[in-house]
Amino acid sequence: MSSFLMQSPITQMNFLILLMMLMVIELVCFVACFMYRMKKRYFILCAAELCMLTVYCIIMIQGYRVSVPGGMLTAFEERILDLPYSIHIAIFGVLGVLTLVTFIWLHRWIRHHINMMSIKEGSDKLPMGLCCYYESGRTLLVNYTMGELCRIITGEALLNAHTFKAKLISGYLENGCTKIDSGSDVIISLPDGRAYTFSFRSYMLEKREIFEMVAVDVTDRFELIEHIEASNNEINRVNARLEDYGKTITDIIREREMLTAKVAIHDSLGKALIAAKRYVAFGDDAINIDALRALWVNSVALLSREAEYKDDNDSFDDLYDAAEIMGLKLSLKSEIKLENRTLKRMIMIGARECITNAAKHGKATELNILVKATKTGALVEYTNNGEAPTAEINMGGGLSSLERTINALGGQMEIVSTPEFVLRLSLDDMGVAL
Amino acid sequence: MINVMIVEDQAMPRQLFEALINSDDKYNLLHSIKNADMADIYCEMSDIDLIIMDICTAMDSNGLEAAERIKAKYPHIKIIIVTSMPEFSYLNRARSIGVDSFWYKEAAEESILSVMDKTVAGESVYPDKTPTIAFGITDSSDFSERELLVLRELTSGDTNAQIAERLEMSQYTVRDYIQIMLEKTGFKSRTELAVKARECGIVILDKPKN
Repeated sequence: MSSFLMQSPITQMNFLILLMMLMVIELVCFVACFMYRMKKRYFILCAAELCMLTVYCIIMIQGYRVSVPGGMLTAFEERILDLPYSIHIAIFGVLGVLTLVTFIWLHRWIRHHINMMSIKEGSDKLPMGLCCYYESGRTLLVNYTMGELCRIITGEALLNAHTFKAKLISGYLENGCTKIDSGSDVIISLPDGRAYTFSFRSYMLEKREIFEMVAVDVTDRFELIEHIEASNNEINRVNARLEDYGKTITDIIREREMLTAKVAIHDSLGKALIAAKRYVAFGDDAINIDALRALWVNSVALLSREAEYKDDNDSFDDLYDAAEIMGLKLSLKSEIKLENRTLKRMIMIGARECITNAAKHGKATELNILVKATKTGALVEYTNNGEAPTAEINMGGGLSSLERTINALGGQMEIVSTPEFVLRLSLDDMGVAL
Repeated sequence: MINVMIVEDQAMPRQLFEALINSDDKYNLLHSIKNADMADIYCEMSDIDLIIMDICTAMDSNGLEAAERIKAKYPHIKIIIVTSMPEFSYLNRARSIGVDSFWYKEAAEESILSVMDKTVAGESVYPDKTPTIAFGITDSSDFSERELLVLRELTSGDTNAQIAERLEMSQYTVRDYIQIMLEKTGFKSRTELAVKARECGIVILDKPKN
């Protein structure tokens, strides 16, 4: 049988083309083994097949070249090329089968095993954004969602994860995106209404630290939070109205008590009328005429003064009267309008303690109360013209009780013993008009 | 002669009491004041035997607190607490302080003069229970003490969490009590519940905030 060299140039060319096609397929298998990081033995097998094909191809090319006048062959090449053509066909068949089997096996392996591509493909399907990267910021895996988020938020592709993270934390964002302050979380609101929360963590993988950035869609939760905030604001507004109502209801109840008293007076007047009628008509001895007369006088007196009743319960009349009964002349001066109910109550109960102590212990004849404005509220100072304390004043039962009451009203108490006694009561955050 | 002091902030009821006392020769009206915080001072300087003390007096001063202080310093002084508020805790609190008698202005079974006579004689006159008042589709007797505690705090306008902290219960318990009261009364919201409670005086918050 004739050898390869004795074949026509066209036959040789066709043979070489088929051989090179096999080499390309084998090269693809070799690259795939490298890319999919297959086990070493498959990698070595592919490499061996590729080497064999490459060497055989080179020899065949040399044989093709010697058909050109002046071509030279080595002894090895001549020996191979002198083999009958049928042997070469057989060698080609074996190499071809090996290559095709390798290719088919590799293709099936890729389809049925998890690899980098399948991980990437799977992560692209996730609704959340995922980015794994090295310490330098170079990305290891960026899924589709994270890539899109980076483009929307920064206007650029995600090339360096550290740069992206820094922009997220700083809040210097593009395209109308805004960072929402939510404690330690990084929440980004997108212009289309979506909101994502970004979290960061790291872990060790094959003795190397890998960093992970995850973006989770919190649009629904964010909308709910906004709705709850709006509801809370409404509740606070309603509660404030309820508080205001609570302040006025006492006045309403007082008016009701007044009405009840008037009804009682009218009732007794009604009974007096009946009794008077009986006395006048029948001279009923059972009726006590003196008591009846007193009842008439009192009832008419009360009713006739009805128009004069002015319940000025916010005046300090009782305070002045109490001071006078203790032999003290009271002076109450204020730098601010005394409209705050808590402040007025505080003034009264502070004065109660001072009136008692000033008269009994200090033998004072004057008590001075001065109300000053402070940055945050008011300060009430009590002084007297009595004997100054000779030592630090010990908080007895009265002063301790006073301090507890003042604290319960939201105020603070301070006692100065030297050079003279001063009691100071302060009240913050009372909304007084200064 | 029994020396009496009246502590009542409203002019009409105060003058009614004055008229009643003046109509009876046994009693001598010594003082008639509006602010319970000042009552101690009058007790210090005057020989008072009996005090008729309203609970809600001028400048938010509290007659029960004043009664407690007076009973501690002057135990011989008899005190009759008078009120028109059916607030559920007043009766028990008055008893615990040692108030001698208690008289509801609008729901009393006997006159104030009769109560005064009995009190001075050493008897303690207390109503059996707080007056029952209509509250929504039910009445005040339908509520437990815990429910009324929550209801009172509800009138402050605070949140469930704040109420729970003050009453040392969980906010879920507070929420459940409010829900029960809404079902009992037929009111549509907690705001309506709080407003109606204040209106009828079933609960009174002692320290209104500014």
